[in-house]
Amino acid sequence: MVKDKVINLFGYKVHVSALTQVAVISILVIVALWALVFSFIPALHDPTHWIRHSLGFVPCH
Amino acid sequence: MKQNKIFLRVGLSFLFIFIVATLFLANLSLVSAANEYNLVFKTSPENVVAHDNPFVEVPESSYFTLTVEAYDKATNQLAKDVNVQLTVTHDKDSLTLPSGFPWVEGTTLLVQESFAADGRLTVGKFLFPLRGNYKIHATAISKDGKSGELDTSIYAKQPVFQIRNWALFHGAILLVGLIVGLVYGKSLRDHGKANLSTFLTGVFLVSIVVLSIQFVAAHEGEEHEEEPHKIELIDKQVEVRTNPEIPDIGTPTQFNFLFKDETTGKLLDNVKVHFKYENQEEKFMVIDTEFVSETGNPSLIYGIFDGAPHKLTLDVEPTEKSSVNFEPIHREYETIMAEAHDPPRTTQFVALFIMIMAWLIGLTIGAVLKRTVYS
Repeated sequence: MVKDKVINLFGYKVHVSALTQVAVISILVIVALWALVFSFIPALHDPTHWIRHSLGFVPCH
Repeated sequence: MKQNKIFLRVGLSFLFIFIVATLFLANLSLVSAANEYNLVFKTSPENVVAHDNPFVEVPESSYFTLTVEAYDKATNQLAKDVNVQLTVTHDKDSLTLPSGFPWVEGTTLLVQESFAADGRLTVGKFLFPLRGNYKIHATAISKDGKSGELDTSIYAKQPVFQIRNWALFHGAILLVGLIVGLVYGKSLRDHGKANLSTFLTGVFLVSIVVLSIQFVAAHEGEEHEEEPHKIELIDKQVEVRTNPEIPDIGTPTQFNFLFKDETTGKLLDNVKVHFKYENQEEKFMVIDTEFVSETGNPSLIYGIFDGAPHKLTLDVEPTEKSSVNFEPIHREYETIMAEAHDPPRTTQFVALFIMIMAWLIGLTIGAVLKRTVYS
């Protein structure tokens, strides 16, 4: 069982529950996927452009 | 009086039948007049596979030769001296999941016309940029009014390596979700079912908010070193213009050519044109074809699917019927570019939604497993 964590944030003790930890991980995953699909620089052939094309079913341009 | 009326009715009925029959026969003759040629469309190899990844080296097996043959029905031989036209159009309705080039979906990729002395039109190398159905329309017409028409379709498959990559990528997302679910499953149980469902709803809502950011802050990331520009390549012998003047992805580009005699400035007749269009950035051919123009001002419509700079190579030579036996012409035009666009938001949303669902499914399975099997 994962215990709740207490983080010292600039002197303030922040209580982070297991549920919040999962929420944070989920949001990070979603943001990473969002950055992959909605690249900021789609025309520059950045790595996300390469990944999108290699997946075939993901729109690129 | 009554007899007269009967005669009148019978007479009118006969007249009506006569008119209908005449129209029917006239229509029949029109139909048959448009069917003197039997057209056959072939691809080589027969099974078509798309190639929508410009970063992977294009093997020879990704190129297809397209052929239209016009046979004279009377002789069952290849027709002589006919104008053959081939149109290749992608069918958007044949796709359920998004593709790599959403702007190209449903557009016309090729319209090629050639004067075919041997009744055959050939596209030497053609790359199908999308999976799905392609509508094929071909016509053949001769100067003496004979004609033929063909409507058919072919299906281009998604390359196996892309299906495998897509499955592995989504499998990895699901696996990470499963691991997080297994690690936190017991803790989530302590928070109760209500909290878990609230959490999953929260994640879903966050994903919607993340998606909607795009609608607020739409980006225009077109930062090529070379910018798309108007195509107008003119010298004493060759003139090339396009319509639209600045090519655009998703809009078929019509290449208009004028081939002139260098000394007289008059149009050259009966010229054989070798048209090659090559991706300069990734170094692969997208189309390599030949056609014959009787007038010296042919056109070719091609649907550019990539925003990378392309090189157009033209080789023009006389045919047996040319009135001027000119020296072969060779021209190379570099950095021809089409305007690229960000994909339509809906297609991006669908792709991201599937990824988020993979994550949520993995997470849920992991959490449920931990709570039932391992508790």
